[in-house]
Parts: sequence; C-alpha cells; structure tokens
Amino acid sequence: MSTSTKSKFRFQWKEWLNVISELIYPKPPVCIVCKTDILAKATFHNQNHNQNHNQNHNRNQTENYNHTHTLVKRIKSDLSGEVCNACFEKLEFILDSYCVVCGRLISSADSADTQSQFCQDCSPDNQRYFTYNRAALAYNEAIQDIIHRFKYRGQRELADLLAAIACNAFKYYYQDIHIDIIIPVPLHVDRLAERGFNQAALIGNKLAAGLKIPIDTSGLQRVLHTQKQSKKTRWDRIQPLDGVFAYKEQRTNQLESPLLNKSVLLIDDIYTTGTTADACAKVLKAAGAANVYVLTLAR
Amino acid sequence: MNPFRMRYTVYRTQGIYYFSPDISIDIKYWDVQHNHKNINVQEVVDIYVAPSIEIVLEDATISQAYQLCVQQNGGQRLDKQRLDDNELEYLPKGILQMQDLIVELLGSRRLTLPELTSLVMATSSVATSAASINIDPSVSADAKSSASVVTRTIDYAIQDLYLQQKINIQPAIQHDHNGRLSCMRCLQSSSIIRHDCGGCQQECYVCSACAAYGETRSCIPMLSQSETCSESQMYSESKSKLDINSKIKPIYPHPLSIDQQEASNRICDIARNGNNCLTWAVCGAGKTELIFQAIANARQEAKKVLIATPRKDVVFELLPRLQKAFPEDSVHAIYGGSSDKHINAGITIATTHQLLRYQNHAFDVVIIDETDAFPYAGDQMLHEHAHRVGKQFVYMTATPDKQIIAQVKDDCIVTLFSRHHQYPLPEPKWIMCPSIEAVGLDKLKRRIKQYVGIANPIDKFSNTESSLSTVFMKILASIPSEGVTMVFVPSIAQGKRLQQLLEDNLPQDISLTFVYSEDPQRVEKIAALRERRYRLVITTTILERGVTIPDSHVIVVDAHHPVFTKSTLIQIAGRVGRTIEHPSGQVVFLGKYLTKQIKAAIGEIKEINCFAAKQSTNITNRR
Repeated sequence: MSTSTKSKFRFQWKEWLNVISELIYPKPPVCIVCKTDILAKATFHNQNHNQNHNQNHNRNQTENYNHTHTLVKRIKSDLSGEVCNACFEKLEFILDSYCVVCGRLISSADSADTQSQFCQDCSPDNQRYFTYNRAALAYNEAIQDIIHRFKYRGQRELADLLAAIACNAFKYYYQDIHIDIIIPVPLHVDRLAERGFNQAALIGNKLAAGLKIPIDTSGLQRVLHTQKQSKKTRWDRIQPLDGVFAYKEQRTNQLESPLLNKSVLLIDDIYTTGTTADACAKVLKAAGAANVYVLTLAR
Repeated sequence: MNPFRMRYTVYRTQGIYYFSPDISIDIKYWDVQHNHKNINVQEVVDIYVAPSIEIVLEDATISQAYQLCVQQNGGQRLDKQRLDDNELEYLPKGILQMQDLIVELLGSRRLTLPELTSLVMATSSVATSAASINIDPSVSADAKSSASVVTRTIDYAIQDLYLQQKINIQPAIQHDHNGRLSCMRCLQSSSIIRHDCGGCQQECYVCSACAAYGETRSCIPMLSQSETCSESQMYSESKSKLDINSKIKPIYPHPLSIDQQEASNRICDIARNGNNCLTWAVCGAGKTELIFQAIANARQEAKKVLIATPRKDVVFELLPRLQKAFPEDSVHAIYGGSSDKHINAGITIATTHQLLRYQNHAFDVVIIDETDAFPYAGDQMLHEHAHRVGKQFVYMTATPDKQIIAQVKDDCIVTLFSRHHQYPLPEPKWIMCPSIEAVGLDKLKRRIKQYVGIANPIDKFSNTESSLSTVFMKILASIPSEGVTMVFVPSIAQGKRLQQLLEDNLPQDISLTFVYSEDPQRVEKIAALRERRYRLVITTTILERGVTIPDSHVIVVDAHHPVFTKSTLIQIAGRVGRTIEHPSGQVVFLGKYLTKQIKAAIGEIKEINCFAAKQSTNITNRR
C-alpha cells in the first residue's frame, strides 16, 4: 500500500514539473499527419534530404514547377507549423491539366495522344446533373491515409488541414463563380451516430466560415442506409443511388423553395465514380437549384 | 435500437432511480419480482401492492441518465433484493441464452455497447436462434428485419442483467473522483475533446487517446461485470477444465542448463513469497523457459496467468511454445485483430495494448516480456494499464532501465548472464565512419585513383554518381562471406538509399533485401531470412529483437543517431551468435562520433561477459 501511495505522490510531482517546464520550454510544433517534430525533421534529416535531392535531380525539376504554383504555395503557407515538409510533399496537387467534368488529373502522357479535355470515364454525351467537379488533390496513398484516419480513426484535428486545402482550392477553381450556399454530402443517421461526425460537414463548416458563405447541413438528407461506397466493387458503385437522398425543405414561404434559382456548392471528401455527387445533384436540382458545383478533396 | 444512439428513460420505483432504454422490460421485471415476494413472504403486506413506476426523465443520453441516478441514489448502490437464478424462468429462453453469451463475452473486460453488440452479432448461431424468438408479440416478425430483432434481444438481455445487478452500465466518459472528465477505457483525462456529436445530436465529449480502438463518447454506454456476477459465473469454465489434484509440470523443449535451472528456482521462490520479480537475462539465454515453472506453480493454485508483450510477433512466437509446454491447460492469445471472443483461459498471452479493455485485477500473475520494447517503454498509459490488471508481476528483459530496477526489490532481481551454449556475448567494435557514402576527400581520392592517366579528369570528377565510402567497403570486406550480414539503419529513407548504393556497388551475385515496418512483404521477407535466402539484409530497428538467424553478423550504420539507444544497441548485438553451431560473429557499430549510448552499450556487454566468466568458474570450482 505504501509503495502505491508513494508512486502516486511522485507521479503528481512529475505532472507539476511537466506543467512548469512546459511554461518555460514550450513543446515544439508537431506535424499533425505523422506526429513527429517538425523542427527536428528540418534539421536532422537535412543532410539526408539533400542527398536524395541530388540524386533525384531530374525528377525534382518537374516537381519544382509544381511546388512554385500559387495554389500550392498558399496551402503550404497556411499549413506551415502544422504539417512537416515530408508529409506535404507526398500530396499530389491537380493544377492545370484536369478533366473538365470530374476534375481528374490528366497526365501528360494521356493528353498527348488525345488532346482531350475529358478523362476516360467522362464523355461529353454522359450527362451529369452537376455542372462539374473540381478536386484539389489526385487520389494517392498519402491522401488516402489522411482521409482514412480522419474518417475512421476519428482524428478530428485533421479537419483543419483538409479545410485549408479545400478553402484554397475553392479560391483557385471557383473564384469567378458565384456560390449562394454550401451543402455537404450527408451521412445516414446510423452512420453519423457510428462515426460521431460528418466529415464533409466538418470541412464544409470551416469552408463556410472562412469564405463567409451560408451553409445548409440539415436540408439534404440521406434517407436510405446503403453499404459504404468504399466497400463496393466498381460495378456496384456506378449503379445510380436512386432514392437514397432526399431534400427536406423548411419552407418559410409556401411558394418558394430555399434553393430556388440558387447555385449550390456540394462538398465531399473523395470523388471516385461521381455516383454520390450525381445523386445529390439530382435531388438538389429537383428542389429548385439552378446550378450544382462539386468540390472534393481528392479525385 | 442502434447501439450508438441509445436513449434512456429514468424512472423511480420504491425510492430508487433506475434507467432503461425500454420501460416495458423494467415493468415486467418489477412485476415478477413483486409477485414472487407475494408467494414467499406471506407476512409482509406492504409489498403486495404492484410496483409504482414514476418516470422522471425521458429521451436522455446515458451520461444524463447515469448522472441523475447517481445523484438521486446518493452514492448508495441499488437495492440488494435480487431474483434467484431459478426465479428467472419468466424470461424467454432466448433471452437467457443471450444473457449467458453476453456474460461470457464480456468476461473480465470492459466493452462499449457497440463493441459488445458487434461481438454478439458475430456469434451467428445465437443470433439466428434469438431471431426465431419473438419477444414482443405486438411486433410481427416480418415487420422488422432480423437484425433489428437481434439488437432488441440484446437490449432486453442487457437491461435485465442490469436490473439483476450482474453488469454495470455507465457512460464511457464520465467524471472521475477528482472531478475531471476521464475515459473509462483508457483512464486518461488529458485528451478529451468536446465536439458536436452526430450520435446524440448535442455537444458531448470524445476521447482521442484511444480512438484507434473505436471511439468512446460520453453518449456511449460502457458495460462491465459487477462484483456479484464475477464470482459465480466467471471462473466456472477454467475450473472445469483443470484437474486441481494432478501435479502440473511444464514440458520443456530441451532440458534446462544448470544456470537456467538455478534462475528458474529463484523465480519460483520469489513468486511464492508474493514479491514482484525482475528477470534480467542476456539475449539468447532462453528467457521464456525460465518462467515455465513459475507459471506451473501459479496454475497449481488456480491463479490466472497473463503474459503481456508489446509486440504482436512475440505473441505469435510464444503461443505454440506455451501450448507445447502446458498441453493440459488452456492457452489463449489476444492481439489486435484476433477473434475477439473472450475465453477464460488459465494462461492468456496478450499484447500490452489489449490490456486497456480489462478490469482491475483481472489476472493474478502478470508476466511482462520485453519491458523495454517499443511501444510499451516510455508509454505511461500502457504502463499504468499493465499494472492495473494484475496483482503480482514478473518482468523479463535483456536490457533493464533504471526505472524498472527501482520498482523491484534488490533481492528480487534474477540475473542470467550466460547464454545457453555458455559462449560469451560477441563484443561490438566501434569504428568511426562519417558517412557510408563517398564524400569530399574520400570521393576525390577514389576518383583520382580511378582516372589517373585519363586526358581530362576534371570532367569526370564533376560526375555526380555516388559510391560507398572506403571505410564502409573495408568493413564489408572484413566480414566473412558465409553467413548473413544484417545492416541496421536509423530510418527507412536511409535504408532505401543504402539499398540502392549497395545494389550499384556490389557484385550482382550477392542477394540483398531491405526489410522495414511498412513493407508489404515484411512477413515473407523475414521468413525467407530465416531460411537464409539472403546474404545481406538492410533493416530498420524492427528486427532488433525476437529474431534468431543462425550464423549472422551485424553492422549498425549511423550508430550515433538518437534512434539507437543503449538497449537497442545491446539487443542488436544480441542477434549474433545465438545458436550452438555458430556461437560467435562480428558486431560493428559505425558512427560519426562516439555517443554515450554507444559507450554504455559496449561497456555493459563487456561487464556482463566478465560477470558470466566469473560465474562459470565458480560453478566449475564448486563441482
């Protein structure tokens, strides 16, 4: 018994000492993605990084162009002190060459032979209910890991990172377009209860606060509980999600829908086949929206 | 009802507050209890009155309901009147089955309601049998899907267990005795965040420290068995399996050496006196066999034994060895991703992370293997939990730190400094090597040597192609070509770089590979390594312990890097010469400068060898 009280006492002392030492020597910033010290990485691995840099000189030249782009610069300055260089460089930004419909990155090899503005999935005849989608990042392992941890591991602090990317992407892609209202893609109540939060709504809220655009999180609802899109096969995914979404309008005026002739921005985390965005856009259009634009983090 | 969205009604009966997800269950329960009292206790007239149930609060989350009940009941536990087991016949058979299953699954763990529900769902046989029973006659079977019927059955069974006081239900995040909010699973109060909850549609708290196990929120109920239940039902299974009268004797894979026998006897003595014990044995001494006798003694007294280790790989390695040693006892392994059924095994092997879910003092003897290994070392949370679940502890390590030596009494440290083949530990050499790559002068010298006689050597010097430094080449050449050479690097990036360098600079016939934690082929590569299919292996610290590769040599690159602490370096040196066929090998530490850690590691190995040599002469003299 005496040992346990003693150790408890000691532990309390240590706790207090920690508090005081933290006042005097504040902890250095930690990367919210890889949880390592940002400053330590900058100094310790500098030499190592330089070596890599020399070796991959040719590859880096093309990437350098990428990293001098205004969009990337802005995001980087927004995230400085939160994300380390190594994690940031793993993100692959879609900048100039993208599909006009779904926003997918069209690599130079693809566009060389066709000179097309469309990717393989999108053709001009394939009519979508939304006007177009724009994505900030190409879907790769790094962003997949970040979104997975955000959604399924409940790391809410990653919302800041993703919102900063989304906010800058909005300013980049949608600067000329007037948006009246932001609507995040909803979750089913059961899924929402299981996860505790709606990832699209979290990002959407921060985006709306940053851009001073009203947000509507309650209107569009997911009324049918379907299997997770990420667990389906591709064939199942492109099957239309009819009747899954519904728009419950709170009409103040009997004649007017709140979305009438408004242009709506739909927010989601990942755009894979566009089925979800299309189903939402269909419902929103039926509710009176004039245009539906989509902004996703990754494509 | 969705276990993430449970809503509770608080009601009062006979002056005591209870909460319930479905009040009809409670009405039935109290009705039966009072009717029984009618028959048995004829004299007392007061209780003949049907119980009056007064609803206090409706549609509340678990934390609201629980707080109100605790407040109103004033710390006093629920009443002591309970139904006997044979009085429970009013319940449908499916519910009774379900209750048994829940109690069995729960065991001595604390689980959230969603966790428990998914566990019950996974046990398909009971789920289907429960679905066939219609609890509520007003709801026809076809009206609701079978899944919702099962969840209703689970809710019914849990609520009834709660009324019988067999299990405790409380919010997963609540105020502890200091008034701070703390998570009931990880017992931490530092990383609780307030958020807009999608489950309870209001602001509530969520713990981010243990989010990897599934989130705990203040609106999620946490279930655990209460004391009254644990005695009667928990130990029934393990007792029936074991014949107490027969003497339990471990079966050793090979006979113990004299040193091992001595150490084993000392551990048994210390454990019998009820003290905690630290076993400090060098790498390759056969630590696992030392504790077999102590485990056997504990099992003889029907104590529950837990072997906890930070690494999943070690769990896989220990399980077959213990099953062979104790063929009559039940040995059960729990790790992340194991089939999550709780078995009341006599011997449980678990990763330290799994201990979060266990109740206080769930085990009698806790053996912690590799106490200094990542992630257990330096993690205060895991440390607290490991010490919470047991009563008596045996620590095992090859590299104890000061903290653990301070925890144990001086006369309770058992040391075993000689390896099972009696050869000394291979002593590491430290060689200064600023870089494995050729840089600066090194490069220039080599280039001049290479291009002397060429007309215009300047163009060739500016060539950026890189090669290995002379020091590193020499060391590689000095290591005997038969056997496996393991090259430890501090980071994955450096490993990849070194792999490329070696591939460019070494002859093609040398097979080399790089193993690291994120490698998708990690398991296959390690297996291939054991079969000695590679001649040269580059690896990060993941191969620092738990791997036996006969006839191996070790090079540590950049040993001055902070990743390589004293214990890591000793463990790495301990990879060499583990088999009797190849009892020695080369260990080389390369670094820019000599750090304290390197010095201490080499010093400790030398000290141990000295000590072991003395011990062995003593033993031979005694003979």
